[in-house]
Amino acid sequence: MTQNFAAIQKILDGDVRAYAALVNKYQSMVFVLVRSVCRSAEDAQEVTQDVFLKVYQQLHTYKGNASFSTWLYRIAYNTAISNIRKTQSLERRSEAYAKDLLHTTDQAEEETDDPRVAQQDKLRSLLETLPPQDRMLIELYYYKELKMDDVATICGLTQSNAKVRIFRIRQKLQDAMTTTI
Amino acid sequence: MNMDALRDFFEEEQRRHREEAAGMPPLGMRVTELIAKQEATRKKTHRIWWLTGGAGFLMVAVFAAVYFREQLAEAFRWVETVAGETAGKVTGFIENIKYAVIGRVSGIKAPAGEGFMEKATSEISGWPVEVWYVVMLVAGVGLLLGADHLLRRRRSAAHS
Repeated sequence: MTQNFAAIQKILDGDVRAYAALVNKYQSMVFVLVRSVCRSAEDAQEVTQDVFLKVYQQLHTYKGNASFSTWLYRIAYNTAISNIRKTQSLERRSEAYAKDLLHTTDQAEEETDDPRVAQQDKLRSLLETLPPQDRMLIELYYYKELKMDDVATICGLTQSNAKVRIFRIRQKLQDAMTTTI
Repeated sequence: MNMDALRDFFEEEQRRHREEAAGMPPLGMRVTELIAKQEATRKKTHRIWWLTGGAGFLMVAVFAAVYFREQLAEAFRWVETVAGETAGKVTGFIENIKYAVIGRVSGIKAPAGEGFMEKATSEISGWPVEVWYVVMLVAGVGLLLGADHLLRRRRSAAHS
């Protein structure tokens, strides 16, 4: 925590190297979060880059009320959500892309014989149908290193509201899986 | 399907994503390069806005000076009169205080002569309208630059 504060102070004083070090330190953490809502690793890398550009612009607003990683997760969460909204609206406009996607999904379903893999594929496509906020909420819920109040802070919800939403999402996923399998 | 299967699925996904993250090149230098580029673009845009704004301001000022020549001359004459009168009053007041103080300290009653302030006042009130116009223009630009400087200082103080 103190180490982060010292690094942040250095960055605010104009130390570019300190910022590069901070990016290198936290890039994996951000990548793993945004990857859950991005189609490819390349997209997730782009979004991770955007997250750190935003973090640099907003670093002066970090007052240390929450831990730095929670604050960073919150920016990553918002950036990933807005990115997925943009991507979705682009996809809606592109019929060809939708056809292509349908084709690849069919192919994937045809190729798998293993029931576990089939279940995972099914879960993945179910997650695709969830609103991005719900998808990220459930992802964060299963992060071992995050507590429930951190998850709620990152998603901009109250703790009780987050719990209710997570319960509903899990129920929805479970129902969908039992009806289709 | 139970909740454990759901947990296993998400943990498996996270493990897969962590592996992908481990294969990612360090982004630090790339991000700082992008920031430097963005900063340069921002500064350039800022400079262009200032130049355009300055040129626009000058054009409007020149246009106004030509179009409202009569009214402007009238306004400056009024400013000149008011400034002259005010300066005269201030000078008189200062002179009175000066003589009163000198008189009180030294005990001598000196006659009021023409001092520096009166000379300066008569000099300034004798300036032509064009000089007043330039003085006001420079003062206006100075005021804008001062406000911009203050705003920047406040913003950079808030950043640190």
